[in-house]
Amino acid sequence: MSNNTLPTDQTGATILPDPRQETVPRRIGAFFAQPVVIVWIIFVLMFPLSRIVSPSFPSLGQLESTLILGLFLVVVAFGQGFVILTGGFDLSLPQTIALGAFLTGYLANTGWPVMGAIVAATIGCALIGLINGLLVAYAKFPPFIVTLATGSILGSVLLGVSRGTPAQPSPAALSSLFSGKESFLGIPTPIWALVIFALIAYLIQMRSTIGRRTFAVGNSEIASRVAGVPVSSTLIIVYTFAGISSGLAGIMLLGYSSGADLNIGASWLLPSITAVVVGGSAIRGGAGSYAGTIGGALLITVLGIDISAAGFSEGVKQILYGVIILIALIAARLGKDAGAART
Amino acid sequence: MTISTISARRRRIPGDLVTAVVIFVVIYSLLLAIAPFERNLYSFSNFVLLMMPLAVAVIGTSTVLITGGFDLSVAGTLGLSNVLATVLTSAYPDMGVPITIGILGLGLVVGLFNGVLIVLLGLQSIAVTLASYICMTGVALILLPAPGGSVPIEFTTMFKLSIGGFPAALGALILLCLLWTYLRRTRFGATLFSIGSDRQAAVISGMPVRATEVGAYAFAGVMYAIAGLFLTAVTASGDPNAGFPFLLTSFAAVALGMVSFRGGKGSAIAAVFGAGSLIALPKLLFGLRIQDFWSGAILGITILLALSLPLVSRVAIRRRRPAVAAVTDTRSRKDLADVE
Repeated sequence: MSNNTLPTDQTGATILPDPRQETVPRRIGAFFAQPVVIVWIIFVLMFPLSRIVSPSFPSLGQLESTLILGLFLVVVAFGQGFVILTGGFDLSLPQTIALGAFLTGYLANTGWPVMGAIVAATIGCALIGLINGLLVAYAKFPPFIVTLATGSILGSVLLGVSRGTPAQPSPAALSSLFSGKESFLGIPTPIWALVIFALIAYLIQMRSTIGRRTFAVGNSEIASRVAGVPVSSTLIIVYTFAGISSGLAGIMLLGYSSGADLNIGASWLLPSITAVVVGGSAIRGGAGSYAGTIGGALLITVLGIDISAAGFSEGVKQILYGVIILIALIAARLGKDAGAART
Repeated sequence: MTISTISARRRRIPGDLVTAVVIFVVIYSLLLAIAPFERNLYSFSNFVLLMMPLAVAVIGTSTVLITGGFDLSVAGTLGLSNVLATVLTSAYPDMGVPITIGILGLGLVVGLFNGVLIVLLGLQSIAVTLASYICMTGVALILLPAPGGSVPIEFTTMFKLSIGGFPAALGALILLCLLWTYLRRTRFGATLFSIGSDRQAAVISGMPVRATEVGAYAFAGVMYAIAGLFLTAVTASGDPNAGFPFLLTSFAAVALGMVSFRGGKGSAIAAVFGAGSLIALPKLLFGLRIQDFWSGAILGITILLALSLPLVSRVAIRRRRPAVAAVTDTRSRKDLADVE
């Protein structure tokens, strides 16, 4: 498009002086211009920078709590990012998180084995995703408003069904697993969960058939259809995965906070979108990487920890969040322009 | 020439407006039928005041939506406008008018900021407006860390003025709708719709695409600021998170107003009726003694039903009048092609 204004020239000049020749420094430049790499570099730089806000930082404890707290955002951002990759949005995420947490707590407290409760809750959340997917794929309703409506219905049903029941306490096994007090091989269990989830999610989004189809659908639904990609079933599977990941996040949050009320998911909707955007994904779909999203999620988490440690008020915290999103957007834009200038 | 034909064609298809009005009339007359205490001028006046914040906000939301963009800054500008009005009027009680003008100016500046970033830098509208929403919530939280504050009565009465029992707010809403109808027929309006249906074509045909797109966000910003002022008048207090509910309700209202989420189609006036439906619905459920917590479910179902109306009518038209089928068919195929 006609957006090659001043900023393009600047990066073009600094990072890629002559686009015609492929040399080693230029390749390194192109590597560092990728949004994924930028996010991870900023994330790593945050640790030494943390010293500004507190003399006790950076520390191993800070890294540990970043990873433990980051787990939830890494999980919800996978589902949100997968849906965004197709060009959609999942606004039913908060209520699906609440369903996962509530159902697990409720079933476990009525005598179900913990594992059974977790499986049942995950299936329940997968069903919500399935309904979203069916409405988007077959009725062709805009995802934004479909998930808004299903979220509204689900939240209301949860409120109606659970009326009078106080917050669900977490089963003891789940609490010990996700509260961060237990360790395995010297590493807290939530960090193991983070690594395992990130690995599986990465394989699904970046290495599997369904992942590739998702990229295709996000780039052009029409072209995918012509090329023989099963668009409808891809959309349905993507939304189902989103439901499952929200549900898992709900189950983990139930364990972490050793109890859950129905508002447990409310604060995760905007961060989930933020993590995806900061991670360099295109909000209209078709481009993005889960490695970037993980970087975005962890960056937001460490920022949150630093901002809290610095004793900033909630207001300043919000402003910083907003500014960081803007910087990430502009950086991604410049990186893209630099990439475009190269070819 | 081209512009006049475009707007003439638009004027002849008010289908979305008719549907939105019918939905509203059905809900509101059901409400009047079951709730006798709603059948007087005082209740009507209250209803209008209650729907004002949402009704004005959706004029902005739908204008941006018509260009094919998403404006999430509605929640931020509305909340900040509410907090600023509260903080400033309690500090300077007799400065009501300058404060109002200042807040409208703030809405304009925020809208311009969004528009410039989106159009000139080519950033994604939903992401930019999400960021500015979060920033403005931050500013609101610094100005007023917790809900509260007191708004002087002179300020609230300025917005709750009533003339012979009729709320002046209704007059303001009608004026805004007339303004929108006028804008729609200007070059600005024609460009607005062209950007939404085919941006490339609008650029090629020499329309002022960039200026119009920035203008759409600026116009929307002013609408959100007005909505925030009316919210302040209704609640007579400030809340830094006052905007958050509007993030979802404004898009729900737009859906009930049958505005296309793909751009190029829709009417802000229909969206205002959508807002009316959205405000009347919980009242109706209350009148029917349906418990409060089901209202979310019924809202969701109503939205899904409203979304399926175009599908149903398309099928019905195709069955009844085969001659029209060809036309409808190309339209639906165009819809398909519009999917990003």
